[in-house]
Amino acid sequence: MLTLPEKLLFIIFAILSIYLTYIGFSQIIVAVRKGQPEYYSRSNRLFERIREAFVRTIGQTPVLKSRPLVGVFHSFIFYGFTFYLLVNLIDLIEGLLPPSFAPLSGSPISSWFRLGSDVLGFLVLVGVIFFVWRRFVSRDTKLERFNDSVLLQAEVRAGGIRMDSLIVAGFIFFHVGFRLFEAGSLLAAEGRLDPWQPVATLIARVVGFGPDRIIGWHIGWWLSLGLILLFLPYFVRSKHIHIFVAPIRLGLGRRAATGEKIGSGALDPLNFEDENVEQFGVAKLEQLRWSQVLDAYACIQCNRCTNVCPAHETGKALAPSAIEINKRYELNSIRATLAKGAESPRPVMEFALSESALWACTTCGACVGICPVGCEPLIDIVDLRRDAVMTKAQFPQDLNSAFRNLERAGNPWGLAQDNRKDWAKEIAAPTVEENPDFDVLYWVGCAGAYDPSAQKIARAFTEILHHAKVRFAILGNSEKCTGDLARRAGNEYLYQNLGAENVQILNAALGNRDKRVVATCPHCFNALANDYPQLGGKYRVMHHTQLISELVSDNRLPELILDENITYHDPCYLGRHNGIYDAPRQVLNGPKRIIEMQRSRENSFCCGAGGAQFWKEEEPGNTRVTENRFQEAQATGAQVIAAGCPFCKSMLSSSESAGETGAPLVLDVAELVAENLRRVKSKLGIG
Amino acid sequence: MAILVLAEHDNDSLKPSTLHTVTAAKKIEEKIGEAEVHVLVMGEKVEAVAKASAHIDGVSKVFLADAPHLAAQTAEALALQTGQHLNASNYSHILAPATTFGKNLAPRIAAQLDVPQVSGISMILDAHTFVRPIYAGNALATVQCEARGVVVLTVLSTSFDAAGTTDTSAAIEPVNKVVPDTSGVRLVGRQLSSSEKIELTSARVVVSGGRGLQKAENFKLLEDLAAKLHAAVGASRAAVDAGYVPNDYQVGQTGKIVAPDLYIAVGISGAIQHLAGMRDSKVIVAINKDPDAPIFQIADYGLVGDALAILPQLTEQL
Amino acid sequence: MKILVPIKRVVDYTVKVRVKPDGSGVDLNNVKMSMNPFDEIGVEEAIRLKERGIASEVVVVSLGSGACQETIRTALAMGADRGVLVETDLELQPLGIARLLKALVLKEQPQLVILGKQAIDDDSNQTGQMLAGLLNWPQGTFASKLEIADGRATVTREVDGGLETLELPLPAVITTDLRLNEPRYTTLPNIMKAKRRPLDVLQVADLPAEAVPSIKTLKVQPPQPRKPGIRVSSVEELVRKLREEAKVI
Repeated sequence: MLTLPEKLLFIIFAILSIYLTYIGFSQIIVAVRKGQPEYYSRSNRLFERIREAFVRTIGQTPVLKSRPLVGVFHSFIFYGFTFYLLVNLIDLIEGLLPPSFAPLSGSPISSWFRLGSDVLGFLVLVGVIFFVWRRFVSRDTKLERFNDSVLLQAEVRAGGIRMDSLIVAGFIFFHVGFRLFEAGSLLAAEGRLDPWQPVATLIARVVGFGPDRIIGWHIGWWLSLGLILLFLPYFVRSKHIHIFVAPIRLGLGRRAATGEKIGSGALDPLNFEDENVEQFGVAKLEQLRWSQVLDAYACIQCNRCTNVCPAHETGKALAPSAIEINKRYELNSIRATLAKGAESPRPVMEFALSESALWACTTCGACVGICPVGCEPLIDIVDLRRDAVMTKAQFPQDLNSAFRNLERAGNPWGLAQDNRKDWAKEIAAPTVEENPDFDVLYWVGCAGAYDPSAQKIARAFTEILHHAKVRFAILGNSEKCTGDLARRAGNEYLYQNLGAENVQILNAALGNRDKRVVATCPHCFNALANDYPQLGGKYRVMHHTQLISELVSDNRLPELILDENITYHDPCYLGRHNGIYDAPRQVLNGPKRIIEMQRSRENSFCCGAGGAQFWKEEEPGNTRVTENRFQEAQATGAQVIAAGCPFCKSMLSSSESAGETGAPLVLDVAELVAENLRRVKSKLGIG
Repeated sequence: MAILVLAEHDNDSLKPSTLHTVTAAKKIEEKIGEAEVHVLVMGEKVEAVAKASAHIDGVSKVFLADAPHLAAQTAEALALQTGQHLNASNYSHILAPATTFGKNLAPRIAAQLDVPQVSGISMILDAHTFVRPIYAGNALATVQCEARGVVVLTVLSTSFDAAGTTDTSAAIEPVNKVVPDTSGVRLVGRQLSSSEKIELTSARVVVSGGRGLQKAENFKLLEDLAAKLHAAVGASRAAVDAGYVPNDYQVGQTGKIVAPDLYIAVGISGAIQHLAGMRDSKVIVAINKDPDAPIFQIADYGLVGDALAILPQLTEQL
Repeated sequence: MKILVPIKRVVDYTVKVRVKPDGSGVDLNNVKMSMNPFDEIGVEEAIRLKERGIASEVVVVSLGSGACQETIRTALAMGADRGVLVETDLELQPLGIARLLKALVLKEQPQLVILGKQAIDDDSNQTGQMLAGLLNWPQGTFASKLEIADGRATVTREVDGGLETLELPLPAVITTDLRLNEPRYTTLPNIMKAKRRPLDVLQVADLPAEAVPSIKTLKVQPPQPRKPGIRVSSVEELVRKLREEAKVI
């Protein structure tokens, strides 16, 4: 127990600390509450949400998944620190109240408690030392490596993250270290050894035994608990706040009103009904949705997102983590005035990211997929693009023609709507009018309709449908671009116009019958599956590889026999955004046949086309995204790169290395299947 | 009655477009019979042009308006001068070539006469009935002018052969009066496109190279061809990526959109993003070693073979 | 300085026009219509002159059916201040349009009229020159660059074989070529604002001008279909085809 002056001092100190911390916290809460309302729910199914957050936090899976070794050390600190909440509470009681109040004294749990605090405390120290070593000694480049062109707040440029890390690490180290010292000194003063506290016993041996060693207990108590009080007001602005915000953020995923989870493929729609609105998308901090404001405090600045970002990897100015970090530093410097009701002083584009960074994003979703705390920087990017396009009309010139062509011709190349069915001149592809008894509606998409290279995919797939005797139909000339590129480029208005027209046509074509819509383009797939429900279009959408896989397992198609070595490129809008990884692999004859690239499935690397990149020049960097990916595919030694997206095919086959002699061919899964079909047929002497 | 052709020239020499226009004038002459074809030459020190005009087969008289203020050949000065000449003579038709010269001038003359004009005729059915392409050539309209008043026409050179020349010279007469120009328009300068760098977007002929050229040095072969054809040089994105040429050569969806009369794609496979930038070209030639290259799908003339071998041959034979 | 920008509603450039089987014209049913692209360049140029502080007001005018209001709104959304629709169901031809525009010019008193060099439907390329002729104003046609200073316009013109620069005293008529500028993408707030900008509707009879068409279209036919592409086997054959068949060299 502390002396009376010590107790008084501690209480005064505690009140002051808690007051300052409260102010900080309440400012953050005000800032978050200034955020805009959400479109999807982030609060329904509360029990499920809590369970989800709890499981992921306790299991530490988000951290372990992407960096296993780091994850282990992180879980040392996490479990130790969690346990220390109890340790600190008991220490507090023991310090302030007479020994008769000591909660655990004499109970059989006491020994286990001491063992826990001793061993876990030691593991925390090990963890912290590992992290300090990693950041300051071995200098793991994954942590703070930003391309030179990345916009960073001045404080961050000046080493703010390192300083913050050092303070947090120092706090943890000394807080836990002195707790162990405190326990050791108590043993030393009491002159006993405690087999349940091996580390403390060791410390006792080092400091030597004697009643006067009780002074060490006082010092240790003050330095471990006092340090908390000292740290608390700082804690609010530090990266360490993630210990509160991250678990909350993990439970805040988007869900439909009906409760099902909304994947990263869906974007929040804007409402264009109100004609007095003059701001579309996000220009200022307070125009972000509240979850986006919260992201700034959930972010632990681990840089996982930046490490996997295709734009950053290829030398561009975009670093998703920098967006959250910059937001955090901005909020920290203005939250006091925000709390007084002031507006944020400058536009987000002035501090969070540069224009080049904004337009470098391929919307591949890798950042969202890998974030261990559930941040969604991709949503920020789209919202900022919305402001740039719809409110300001400041966007890369190339997109101008894509937008105009979409508005006028319903396809981004501005080709005649009347030529949309030209791809099927030499193969029968009945329209819904010609074949009203269809079972499957084939959504061809602009690429399949107009791009000679993608027309081959459309024809191959049609050939497959004929062979498997699938009763299908197409929309023909009434189909229009889904608007995916417009939406991902921030032109929500244009997207909604296109979407509304398509939904009307689709609803008329499908009626109330439960028919499937199959797309050969993952971008179309995603729009149909994730975007259109917002516009009143709810369909059973599948990707052509899913249908082909089904037809193969129903023996309506022969199995694919390939002589060539093959690797498979996961399109972002099929894989990461929609979770379809297995169907194309099943068609390609299972994992044995495919030589997987290092970055595959959830970790697949973008081809560089998405997020409207296909329609503009790539932002300045050191290499093209597609070249990076092509080289990876080439390195597998495969002769064929199978893709499931016409844009991936187009990008990869036009990459620089693809022009080399002997470079692998890029083909769609459907093309391989159709080719196989022809081989089988000629072998059997039919057709 | 007579038919008047406005001569296009640069004060030194007569432009071939005038020859094509005279052919159109003769066709009208045939339809009405008993008419003469006159040529009006306006400019400064244009005697040589007048003489050349007088030697065009079928021209019976050349009128000459030679004055310093006509040197710049502004529409304002030429329209006034033509108007003066029309007051003095009796014409049923006025024809100008459908070039920027004629397009600039003829409607102004028509407006001053308060008569309509028929632009860019490709066929003459009778003295008042003509065929002309509309919707960028996607439709052909047969149109008829009212019989009263002068008929003002501009003529597509590509639809009428050039008139021949004769040894006998038609009479050259000065116009009865040279009218001063009061419009205050001043020619600041002319910048004729040199053969080194012709603007891609306005070139009549474009030759583009792709990855099939294999290295930057081989673009020289393309430039030789371009020089011969007075063409602009373009490139596919792959060629730009490979560093063969700078980015501003790029033809395509994210580069320059071109629609020349002749587009020659050399070693370009024809990715959609490239096609989107050139598919409105009137005549497309593709040279590529891959017979399955998509570029052949939109080419009017395809030649399968090694670009590096074909280019010098082509340049030589042109 | 006031600028008048006449704009025409035409079949959109992305539409593949179809000739009606009876030869009476081009099928305009359910066809996407929009502002003539050259006119859009004219609107853009006028707005830029206003943004540079050279022009004080940009007035757009369209002649035709009530549907042209939509086209005018597009121009207003780009940034034009005011719209005028001269409503008529008459078929308008360049001379008639030029006469009506002359009447409007006398009413509105602009210092500059900027028109597209031609409309992409009838491809006449006449109206600007005719208007200049009727007004006896100087003309700067096929402009790829325009500068206004000290009551004079300096116009760089795209002419066959190069560029020509003229200096014209104002008032003047300018017609635009493709390279003059790239029209802006309209922002949503401006689309909303455009709905509140003034748009006066006049009838042809309100203007002291005669606009009865004087050229009759007897029939409209489709062109010769583009021949399917062919493979040539040699450079000689290619050169011969280009010379004799395609006539492009």
